[in-house]
Amino acid sequence: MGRDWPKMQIRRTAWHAVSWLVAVSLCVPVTMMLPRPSAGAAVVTLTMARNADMLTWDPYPTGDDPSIFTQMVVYDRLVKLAPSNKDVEPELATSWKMSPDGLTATFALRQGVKFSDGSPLSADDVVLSLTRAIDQKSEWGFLFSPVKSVSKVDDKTIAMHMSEPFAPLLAALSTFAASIYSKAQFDKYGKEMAQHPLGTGGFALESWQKGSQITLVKNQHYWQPGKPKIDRIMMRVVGDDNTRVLQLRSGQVDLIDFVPPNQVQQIRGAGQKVYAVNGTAVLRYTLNETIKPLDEVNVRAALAHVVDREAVAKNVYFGLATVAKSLLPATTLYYDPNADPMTYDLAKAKAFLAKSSVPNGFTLTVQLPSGNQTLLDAATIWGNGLKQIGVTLKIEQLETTTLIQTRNAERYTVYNAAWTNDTPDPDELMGVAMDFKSQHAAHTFYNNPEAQQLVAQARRELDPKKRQALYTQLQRIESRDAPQIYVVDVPRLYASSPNLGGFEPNSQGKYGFENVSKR
Amino acid sequence: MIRYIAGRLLLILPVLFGVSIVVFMLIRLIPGNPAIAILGEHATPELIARVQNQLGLNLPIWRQYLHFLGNAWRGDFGLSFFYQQNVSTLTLERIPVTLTLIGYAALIGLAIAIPCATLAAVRRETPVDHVIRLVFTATIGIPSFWLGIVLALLLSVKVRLFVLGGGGAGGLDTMWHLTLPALTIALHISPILVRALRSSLIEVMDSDYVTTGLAMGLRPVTLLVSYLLRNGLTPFISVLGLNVGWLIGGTIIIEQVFGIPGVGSLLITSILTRDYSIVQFVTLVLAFLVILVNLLTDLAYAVLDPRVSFQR
Repeated sequence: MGRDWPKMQIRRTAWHAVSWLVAVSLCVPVTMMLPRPSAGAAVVTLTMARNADMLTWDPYPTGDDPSIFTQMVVYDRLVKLAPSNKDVEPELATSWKMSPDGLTATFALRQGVKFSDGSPLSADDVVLSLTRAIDQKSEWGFLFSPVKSVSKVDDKTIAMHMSEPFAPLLAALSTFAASIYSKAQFDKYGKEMAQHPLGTGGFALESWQKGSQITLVKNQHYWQPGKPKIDRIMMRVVGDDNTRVLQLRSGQVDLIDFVPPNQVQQIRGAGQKVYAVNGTAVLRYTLNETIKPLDEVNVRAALAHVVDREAVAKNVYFGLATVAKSLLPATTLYYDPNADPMTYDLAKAKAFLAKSSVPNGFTLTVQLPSGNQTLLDAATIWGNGLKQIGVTLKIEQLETTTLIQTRNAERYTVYNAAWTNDTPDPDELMGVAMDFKSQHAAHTFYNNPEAQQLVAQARRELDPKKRQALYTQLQRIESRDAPQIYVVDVPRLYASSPNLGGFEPNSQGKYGFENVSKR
Repeated sequence: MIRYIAGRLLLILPVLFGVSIVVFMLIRLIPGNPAIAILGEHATPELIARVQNQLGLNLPIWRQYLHFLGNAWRGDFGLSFFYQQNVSTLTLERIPVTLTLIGYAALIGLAIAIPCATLAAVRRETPVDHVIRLVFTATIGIPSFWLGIVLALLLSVKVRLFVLGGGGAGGLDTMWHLTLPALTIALHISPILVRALRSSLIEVMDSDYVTTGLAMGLRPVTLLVSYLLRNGLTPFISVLGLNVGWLIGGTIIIEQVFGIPGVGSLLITSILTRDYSIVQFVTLVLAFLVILVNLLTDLAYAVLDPRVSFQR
C-alpha cells in the first residue's frame, strides 16, 4: 500500500507545512547576526573568562584564589610587589621606617587618595583593615604572627607594633590579606562587607551575579593619574577549560585564566598571547614519616633522586614548567638554585637505598586527586624511576576533598600537591614546612629542631645577607632530608587576544588591570 | 478534566517528597566534606570542625533531614554554603535561561525531526530513508559535550556565526547566545524523535482511513495535517514527553560546556563544591519541571486525540 502512495503533492505540502518550523528556529539567530547600531561614546570593556567565581570580598575569611585575585583589583595595600616579584614598592604608603630595635614600623600614608565612592582614605581605614588582618583568628593572621597591634600616629601615619623583629613584614603587607578598605563601609555592613566592597583600587564593583558574572567599573577617583585605561571589566565564570579557550579564539573574550598546558601551542599558533607566570607554585610530594620506611632519611633521599624532573617539565607541562631546585618557588626571596638540589641520579638513589632497611625495594603508595591527569602523568614518570631501584609505586586516586581529609587526618602515605607562595618571602613556606608543633611540618612529621630554630632566627633577622645565608642552609637541609620532594615550578597560565596590552600578572595572582589597554 | 489535573497536581507532593529524600541522602553519600571544599587545602582541622558545626553537618543525618524538611515547608530552602545567599534566590534567577534553553532546544529538535521523519516516512525504503536513518543512528552515539565542542569550533571559532557561551543580555540577544547550545541538545535528542515519528507516520500512512481519504479525493494538505500528522503526532508526543528528563539532563551538561549561567551549571558547580542546599533545591526544581511536563504531555493527548478522555 505504502509503495502505491501518490506522494508527489503530499510531499510538497509536507515540506511547506514543516518549513515554517525551520524558518522560525533560524530567524532568531539570523536576526541577531545583523549589524546593530553602537550606542554612545566608546566604552572600553575587557571581558575575561575565569574558571571559577569568587566567594567573598572580605579578606578576613578568604581562602580561595578567585577571591584573592579579584580583591587585589578592588583594594590597594600599603605596599605592592615589585616587578622582580622579590621586593616591594610603595602603594598606599609612600615610605616606611623601622625602629632601631626592630619592634615598631611606621608608615607614611599617601595623601589625596580616595575610595571609589569619593570619600577620602584616612589612617583610621588603614588601622581597621590591618587590625583585622593581624587577628590570629583570621584565615591569614599567621602571616603576621609577631605583629601585636596597629595604631594611628597621626592623620598621615600609622604604626605596627611587634613582639620581636619581624623581617617578612613588608612581604606580608603586600598580600591581599593586608588589603585596605573603608572603615565606614565596614561599620555600615559588618560581615556583609563580603558583598559590598569599597576600596581605593583601580576598579570598583558594579554588579555580581553569583556563580556567573562580576562586573567591575573604573574607579573615577583613582589616585594614579591616567589609569586605569579601560572602563569596565566583565569577569565571566566559564568552568570548562575548552570553552574558555574557544571563547578566546572566537574573539568573544579578551582574556582567559587557567589555560590547559596542552593547548598553549595551539593558542599561540592562532595568534593569541600566552602569559606564563613562573615560580608561583612548586609541585611536590609530601612524605608521611609515620609510615615505614619513610621515616628513614636514606629511603626519602633515594625516592627524591628518581624523579625525572626534566621529563615532567617537558612531557607533562609541555615545556612550560621548569625543573624545581628548591622547595621554594623560583621567584621567592633567597631562593637558592645551588643549595644542593635534588637531581635525577639513579646511582645515587640506589646507593641511598642500599644503606636503608629496604635495600631491595618496597611498595610505595601515592594518593592523588581523582581526575587530575597532570598529577597522574607526573606520578607515572616517578613510578618509572622508582621501578629502576626496585620500588613499586601504587597510585591511589581519591576524590579531592576526601584526599585533603586523609592528608589532614595524617592517614596518607605520599600526598601530591602544588602549594603556592602567597608572599615573596620564604618565611611562609619554610615556616609551614618545618613547623612541627602546629601542623606536624605540613603533615610530614619531619621534626628537625635545628631547622625550626633556623626558621625562627631567619624570621627575626633583619640583615638581608644573614637571612640569605640562613635560607640557603634551610634549603640544603630540606634537600638533604627530603621530607618533601620538589618536582617542578608550575607556572600560572593566562592567554589573551593580541590586542590586549599591559597585562602583567604577578606571582601573587594580581592581574594589574590598571595598566591594561585594549586596542 | 479539572479534577484530573487537580489530582495529578496533588500527586506532585509525594513525588517531590521522595525525590528530596533520595537527593538528600545521595549528595551526602558522595565522599568529600563541604567544610574542606569551602575552606580549601590550607584549612586547619580546628577550622574545618568549626565550619562543619556552623553548617549543622555534625548533627545525625535524620535530624539534618527533618531540619531541612521543616524549613522547606515554610519555603526556606537554606543558604548556599559558598555564597551565603538564599538558595531559592540564587536558583530562581537562573531558571529563565534554562527554560529558554530547553524550549529552544525542543523547538530546534522538532524543526530537525519533523521534516526528516516525514521525508523518511514518505520515501520509505529508498536511499533517502536509508541515509536519514543511518545519519541519525550515528548521531545517537555522539556524546553531547563532544558535539558541543565540535559545533563551537566550527560555528563559533572557524565561521564566526554564533556567540559561544554566556546567557546574553535578555530577549533576542539571549536567543543568539543560546542557539549553539540549543542546537547541540537538539541534535542529540533528534535521533529518538526522528525514529519515533517515522514509525508512527508509517503506521498512519498504511492505515485504512488514509486510503479512504485518498479515494475520496481529499486535498493533500488536509490529508497531511488532519490525518497524517495529527494521528502520527500522538504517539510521538509521548516519546517527546518521556524524553524531557533526558532533555533536561542534556541541558545540565551543555550549560556547563558552554558556560551558560543556568540552573544546570549551578547544579554541577554545587555538586563539585558539595554545596548541599543548592543541589537539593535545584534537583527539586528540575524534578518538578519533569513532572509538570509529563502532565502537560498527558493533557496534549486529549487535544490531539479526541478518543482520550480524562472523565471517569
